[in-house]
Amino acid sequence: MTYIAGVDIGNNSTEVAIARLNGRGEVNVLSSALVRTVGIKGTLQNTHGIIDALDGALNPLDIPLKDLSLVLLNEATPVIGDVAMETITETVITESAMIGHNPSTPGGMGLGRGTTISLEKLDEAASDEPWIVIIPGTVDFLEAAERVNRATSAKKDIVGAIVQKDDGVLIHNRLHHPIPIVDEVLHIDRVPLGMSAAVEVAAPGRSVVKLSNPYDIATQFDLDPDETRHVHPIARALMGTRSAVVIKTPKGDIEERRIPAGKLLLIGEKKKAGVEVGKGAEAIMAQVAEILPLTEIRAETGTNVGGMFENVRNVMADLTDQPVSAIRVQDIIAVDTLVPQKVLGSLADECALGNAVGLAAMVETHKLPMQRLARELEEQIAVPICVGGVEADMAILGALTTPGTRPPLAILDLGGGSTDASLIRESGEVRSVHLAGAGDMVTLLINKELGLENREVAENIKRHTLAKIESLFHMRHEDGSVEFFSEALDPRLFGRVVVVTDDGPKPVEIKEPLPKIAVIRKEAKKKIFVQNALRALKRVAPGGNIRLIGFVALVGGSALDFEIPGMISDVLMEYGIVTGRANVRGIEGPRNAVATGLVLAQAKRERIETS
Amino acid sequence: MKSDTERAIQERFGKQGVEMPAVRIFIAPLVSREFINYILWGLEEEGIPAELKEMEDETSAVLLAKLAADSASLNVGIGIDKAKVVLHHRDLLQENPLFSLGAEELNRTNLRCLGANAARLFKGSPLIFQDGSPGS
Repeated sequence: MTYIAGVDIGNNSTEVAIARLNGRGEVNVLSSALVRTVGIKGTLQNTHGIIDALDGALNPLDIPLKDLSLVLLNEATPVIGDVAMETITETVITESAMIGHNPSTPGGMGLGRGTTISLEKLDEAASDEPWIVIIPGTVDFLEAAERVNRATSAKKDIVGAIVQKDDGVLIHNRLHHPIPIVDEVLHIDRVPLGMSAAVEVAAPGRSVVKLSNPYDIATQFDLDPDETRHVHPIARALMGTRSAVVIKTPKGDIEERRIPAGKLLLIGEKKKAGVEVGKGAEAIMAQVAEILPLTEIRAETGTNVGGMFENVRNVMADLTDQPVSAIRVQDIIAVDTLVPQKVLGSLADECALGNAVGLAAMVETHKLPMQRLARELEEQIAVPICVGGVEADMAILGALTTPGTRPPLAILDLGGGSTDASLIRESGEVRSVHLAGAGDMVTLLINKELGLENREVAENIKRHTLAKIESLFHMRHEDGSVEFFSEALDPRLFGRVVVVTDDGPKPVEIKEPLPKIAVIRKEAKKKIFVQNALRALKRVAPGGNIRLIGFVALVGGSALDFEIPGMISDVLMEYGIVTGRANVRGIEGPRNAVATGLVLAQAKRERIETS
Repeated sequence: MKSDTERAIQERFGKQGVEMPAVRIFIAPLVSREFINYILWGLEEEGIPAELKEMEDETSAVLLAKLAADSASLNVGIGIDKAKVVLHHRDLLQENPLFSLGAEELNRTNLRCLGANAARLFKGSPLIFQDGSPGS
């Protein structure tokens, strides 16, 4: 009787399965463990994680490490991926021509159009034309209200106000004649004076209707059709805000600029073609499908995509001790997104949506230096190490222990850097493919589309459901259910949208409402995983026909996601495939497939030897 | 003497002592008027009515705040004594008020912020924090 361990080093986690062999080829898996991978997979740093995982699995069994007779390491797939975002359009507004933002409490209501004038100059203003008064933060609201009242008493026509501090309601409540007031305008000193401007505030719960419509802006400012075309991006940026200001400056210029986003060169086995990233994801993916099977993809240097390509190739070159020139990018996935961008020349940090293309690339090389790692590990733990077993074969072997499966079975390994698929036919033949784009790409999309600039928060949004803290003692989950707490919640969480993590609710520090965040999260997952599931299965299916696959088992970190398996199941439903999360050995869920496969393969070898 | 603001608020929202939806503010004797105005402005900007009541006996701000919160229909109360301003909620234990401003923190920014937060506590909107003050 001997004890052996199967060790699977992945990009993110290292998994272990401990098994007992009885010498007649019968195997009994006793325990398993999972830890974070230390360092990039295939490097010597991995040993720390491996030893931790072995300890974790052996401790409950009371078996010392030295009693293991063999440790099996997987031949890790030498695949890494990286992601990048290429912006295609951006709104450039010079000479500060608009403010569209959502202060929580603007004052008054309605639309006013007049000429901008500073509060100090109000006394000298002519009484035969409308004015929009600019109130800096240095002036107290009582004084501001009084001065405006004095001006209106002197028959001056004040039609609106732009205020720096959060004083809109306070000023409005003290005016004899109500006017719309936009407040919390951070850079009030940038508001040009003596210019024609319009101020609009909508009723609570509504958004501006006039300044979000290009023809109403044209009406207000008497614009010709060409000028109206120019203000169209402004109108679009103001949609959905509760208050807005548009200022017409003589030299003011707004344009939606298309940024040259670089080119991709797709080289296939039979043909090649170039495609502009600026053409969008659909055009890129159509071209990819056209050129298949791909041998290499190149990107124009000096662009974001070019930089990303350089990065993955460098990492892989370092890892495998090969020259960078020998490393080729073999797959990409592109998705269209809208990303909020700070408007250049903004007055209140307003944003406009720009078009962008998100790209993920994948590099595959011959072999990772697993032997080097095996020698190092052998020295440290004094147990024989054996490297063997193609990762895809081992994963399938492990996944087949899922109750209710049989060949033809495909597994979809939804990882961080790549989406991998393998298929085992009735004959036992295994075919596999690695595709660019997985969990990391979803995180990038969430990060960019919500304008978070914080990967960790994006990662949290991806992994957890959302909730809103409605009182000091309860929160409402995104499905509408309510959870009460016996102790008061942190006041910093109050009224906020949170992600429900294992350590309790964590605030999402953005103003977006919960439903919008949820939609962006779901769409990001669909764009990547649903598209990749179909791409991957088509490549491994017999004759490229997905319908000929009987069962699909999901494995890998993203298979544990609370909604991705459902999304993939929905789309594969149409092909009549049974789709679900794997349940390795009936207990592990989608984890431990490769580690389990390794010990099963060893048992099989033993069986062959003894018979 | 009542300030303009107090009068304005009472005109808008009704007379003192009449039951109406409002954040209640209980004030110990001999408290500076100025404190109170900043708090009221914070509430006003957020569009939530307030109701003032001056107490005759010397009582601590925490107790006043708790009493105010327990009796207010919006469940939110503020207590003010000469050295402290406290924001309380009916569901919180008396000894654990939401925010408490000590004598050295009684500046206009903090007071207005506390008023705004009293309103936001009722509205269910995120509270305002300026580098930890008023903090819990």
